[in-house]
Amino acid sequence: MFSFLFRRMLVLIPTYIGITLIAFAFIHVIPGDPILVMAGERGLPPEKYAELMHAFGFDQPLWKQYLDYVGQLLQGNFGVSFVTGRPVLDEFFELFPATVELAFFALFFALLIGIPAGIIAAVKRGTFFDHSLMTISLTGFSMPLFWWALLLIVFFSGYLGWTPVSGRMSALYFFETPTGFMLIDSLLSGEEGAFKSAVMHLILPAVALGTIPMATFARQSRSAMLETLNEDFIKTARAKGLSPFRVTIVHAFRNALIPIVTVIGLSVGVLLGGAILTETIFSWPGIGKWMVDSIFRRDYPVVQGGLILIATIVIIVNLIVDVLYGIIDPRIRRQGH
Amino acid sequence: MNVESSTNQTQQSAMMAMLASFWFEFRQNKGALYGLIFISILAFIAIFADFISPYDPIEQYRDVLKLPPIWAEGGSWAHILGTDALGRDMLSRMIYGSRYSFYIGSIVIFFCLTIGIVLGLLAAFNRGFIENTIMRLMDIILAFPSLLMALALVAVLGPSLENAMIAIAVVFIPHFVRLTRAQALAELGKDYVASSRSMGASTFRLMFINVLPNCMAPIIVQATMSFSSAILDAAALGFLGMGAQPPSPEWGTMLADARQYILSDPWMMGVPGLAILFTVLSINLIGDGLRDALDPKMKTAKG
Amino acid sequence: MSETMKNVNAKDPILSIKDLSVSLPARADRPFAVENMSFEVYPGEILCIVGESGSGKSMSSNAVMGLLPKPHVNIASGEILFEGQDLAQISDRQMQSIRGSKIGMIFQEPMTALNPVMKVNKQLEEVFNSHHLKLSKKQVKAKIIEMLDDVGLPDPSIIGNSYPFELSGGQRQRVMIAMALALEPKLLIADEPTTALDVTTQAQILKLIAQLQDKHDMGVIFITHDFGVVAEIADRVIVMQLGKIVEQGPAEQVLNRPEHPYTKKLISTVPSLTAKKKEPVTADVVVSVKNLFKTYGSGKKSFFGAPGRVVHAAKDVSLEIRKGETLGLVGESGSGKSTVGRCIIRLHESDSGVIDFHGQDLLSLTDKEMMPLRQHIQMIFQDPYASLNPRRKIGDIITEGPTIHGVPKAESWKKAEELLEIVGLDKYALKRYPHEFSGGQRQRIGIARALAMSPKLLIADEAVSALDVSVQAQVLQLLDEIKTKMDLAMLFVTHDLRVAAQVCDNIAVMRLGEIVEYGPTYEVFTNPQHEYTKSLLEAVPGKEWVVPELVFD
Repeated sequence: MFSFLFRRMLVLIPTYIGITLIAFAFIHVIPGDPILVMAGERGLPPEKYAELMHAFGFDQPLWKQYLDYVGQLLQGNFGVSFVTGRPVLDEFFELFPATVELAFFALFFALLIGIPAGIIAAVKRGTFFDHSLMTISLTGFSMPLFWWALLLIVFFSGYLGWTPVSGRMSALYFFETPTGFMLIDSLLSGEEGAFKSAVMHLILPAVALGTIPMATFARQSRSAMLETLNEDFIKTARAKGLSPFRVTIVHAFRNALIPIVTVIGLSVGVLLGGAILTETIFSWPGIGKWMVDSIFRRDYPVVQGGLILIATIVIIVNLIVDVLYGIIDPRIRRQGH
Repeated sequence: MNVESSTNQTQQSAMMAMLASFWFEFRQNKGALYGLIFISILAFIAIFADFISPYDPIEQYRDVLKLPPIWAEGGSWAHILGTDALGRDMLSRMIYGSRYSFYIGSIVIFFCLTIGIVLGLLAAFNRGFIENTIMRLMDIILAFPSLLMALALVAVLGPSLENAMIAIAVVFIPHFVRLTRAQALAELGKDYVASSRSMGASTFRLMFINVLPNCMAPIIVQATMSFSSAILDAAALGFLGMGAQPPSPEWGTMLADARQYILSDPWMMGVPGLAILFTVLSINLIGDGLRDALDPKMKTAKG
Repeated sequence: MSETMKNVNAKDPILSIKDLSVSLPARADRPFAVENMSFEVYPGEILCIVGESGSGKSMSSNAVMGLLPKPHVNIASGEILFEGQDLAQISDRQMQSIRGSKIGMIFQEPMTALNPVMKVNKQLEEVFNSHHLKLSKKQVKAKIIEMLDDVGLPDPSIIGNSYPFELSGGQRQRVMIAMALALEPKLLIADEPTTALDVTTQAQILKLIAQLQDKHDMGVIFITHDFGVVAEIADRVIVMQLGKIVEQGPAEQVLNRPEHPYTKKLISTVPSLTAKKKEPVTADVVVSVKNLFKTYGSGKKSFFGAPGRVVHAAKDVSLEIRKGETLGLVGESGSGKSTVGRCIIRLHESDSGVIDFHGQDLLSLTDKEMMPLRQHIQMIFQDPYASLNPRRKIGDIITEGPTIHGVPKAESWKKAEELLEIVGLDKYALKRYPHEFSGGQRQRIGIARALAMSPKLLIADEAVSALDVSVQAQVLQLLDEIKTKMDLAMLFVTHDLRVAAQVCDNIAVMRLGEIVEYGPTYEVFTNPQHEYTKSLLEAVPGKEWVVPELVFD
């Protein structure tokens, strides 16, 4: 297992070189001179310009700039924001918990409903339940996320007035946020009503963001279950006189887990992509909104660093999925040497 | 001579028979049929937009700003779906907007199919260095969430619908490469390929005449699903201001315009959103139908 | 057939089926999978149900077990009486308690019939736990060890702690049997339980089933397509065709004095295990293989020190085939017999050796130099479904080879028409697609494709193994005709010793990549020298049964 992981990580080296190359190339192919962009409308005197060119290393040959860049990355230096002047990594870690909180509950919501629905649909194949569930999930799957989010706001915030329109916390409360997770911090603060406010702020964006993964999970678990329910060992299990529940869960679902875990892993990328839209619409201060704002502000070091950091998250999730494969399937585990 | 012409004829009749059996399978799926009907109507509208549309989609009628649609209070038959904040006729914008969906979907899928299939086949037929290079490259692209990657690419290329399409194609291509490679590898293990090899068939012949046609079913399904994803992503980019630029009546851009009025005039975002939803849903329904009709497992089970 | 005919009819039947019909969905090729079926199973007997694919033989047992693929396939009418209950009427829950405890079942594919992600112990444990036996954990554990021991598995505790993929096919089938018999059922249904196994393993499993049946005095329904297996173990036989029972009776009677024309036809197509003495072929040598080596796996230690695994698929293999001669390459799975064939045709690259084809060493040729020789060596493949490109018309498939070698289209199509006639198909087949044909027809098309190149050497790689026995006989006959007519050299790769006995002039027996015995078929079959050959021949099911010479009305 360990050598399997180790080999898997060796493969990551070229992938990482590619990722840093893309991030590096980004700043060099964008239209416009980054120094001038940074200077903004006021412009720069030539000597100041040359000084900055030198300071950022832009006067060096490209390969050297790249090596320097990678060297800086290895030391944990992801550059400094043009706009705020703060290190990119600091900003990232400050905003990351908000995105994790959002994505976690979106995923939770999606798993909680999507997978059982898919299993039931597969077991009750061809029934009314199956057909309606598949129609609903295909609709969810086809939903333009930004529009769906707006609809939720119109209905729940506008029409019913149940939930707030944006942000993570009502402006009534002020407290320290040591963990960055609003649900935890609001409880720690001891402020009455703060936790409720955090929950109310979280619900809509989490539901909006979770809808598409939920539809995907329902569809995938249904098809994976249909496939395993056709396997010979299901017939064996039934021939042993096991209860239908045991056959479905212990034998079929357990074996259907591999494709299901695969889509769950892939959905993390989808969630991070979706967070861009959801956070923008709900003014949720996470890394998705941060990236979009930075792209619009031409805050290139942030975009550059953010791309690498987000790609890292995706890669870590992929690694976790690989480990899960080994846990789920002994055949993969024992091949691991 | 005689043999030639008779083969051509039978080729046609065999094609017809294949199509007929395909159509029979496809029709079994009611959803797919409805999807096809919707898309056909939409295609008709897109093609004849010039004749159907009551107004010019970008002309502003300053005396009727934010006119509600006909079913709401204050609606007018002059503008059935109302007007937007600049007084442009919503119906005309919707009609012309349908063109963008087909334009985006077709171009993106064209690039995905050609590049994805060629790279996928290359990887499958050249195990080792070429395969590893291609697949690592795809891994790198896939390491970025697709919308983020597309956004960054558009930031580099400059915001426009064409650049948005390029960006979307780039982030979709890895899926086609992986699928084509996996399919081709599965086919390469089968004995009909061994048979062709033993006859001395060239690599080109193996790739395009023997293997590729047998890989097409899932690729077509994937292409259909990607067609709809391309529409969704292009609309998302348009919504973020990184896709089609105003005043083009692209549905995602229209939603972006309507966003500031969601609480005061929510109907303004209803129509383009529903249009996107129904278009994407219809294409996905067709994709599901295609999957059922083209599924090789069902074929052999009946054979 | 067991040595002593037991007087089973004295007891009451365990299972009695009356007028059972199982309906198929509307779009199937016939309305009923099983029609008006009636039979009994008595304690202490093995009842074999034989039939070709699609005869409905498996459906009848699935109906008994309540394992029909509902809602598409249902019991339409009839009774299934078991211990005074009609299984066709009882609830799912009642059926569930009978399955596994009173009726056990084993299946064909030991590879897929066990849950791949669950340890053997756990899978056995479930049987006890789900039938509310009130056994303690310890008792269950002891029971499991006992069961695994009973089915002849060495080291029951190690086997129990393994996952199915860590066991061999034979071991898995033993586990399946242990599971089916865990609660000592009165009736065991075995659905082609040895079809996927090698012949020596098959012999062991058949023996085991017969032993356990005797020990527990069970009734056994044994479903098979193989008359050799029937001859080996059956007490009584039911012959099915298209969902109906055409003949039933004691094994000895049905096997030696069949009455129904269909039974007669089936039995007459079973190849006899006795080889005829043939004149040695003295024509020119077409191909001669010398010291061929082929290994899979690198053999190098991998980067992290795990030793690389090496499989010898061919180890110092030498053989020769003359014009008009058929050499049988026989062996069990993994013996390397197919690899040798594929090395000769250069589908696999060999490690070393010489393949002398009409004076040219094929292994020393570049791909380009090999090109003109390719038409002289052709292959017929095992799987009639995977060996024809499903997206191309038969005409295109047959003419592909000639087209590659520059034959004008009109000419090759004309030849394809003639070839189809030779293999017994209509020329209109040219315009159709593979899925429109049956397995046997497809194999004929595969033969036509090979012949289109006018080969001198034909390699038949398990060419008839996937076919029903009656179709198999026809295809074998066709191959023989063609070989004689065209004076071909043929390498006949097979695992089936009965077929080899009938078809081959010479036999090479392979084990683990090596040829252990090589000689004229008659000699090898009547006087085997090597121990392995002896054990193979010993294991052939029904070896003592002499296939009767039947007279058709």
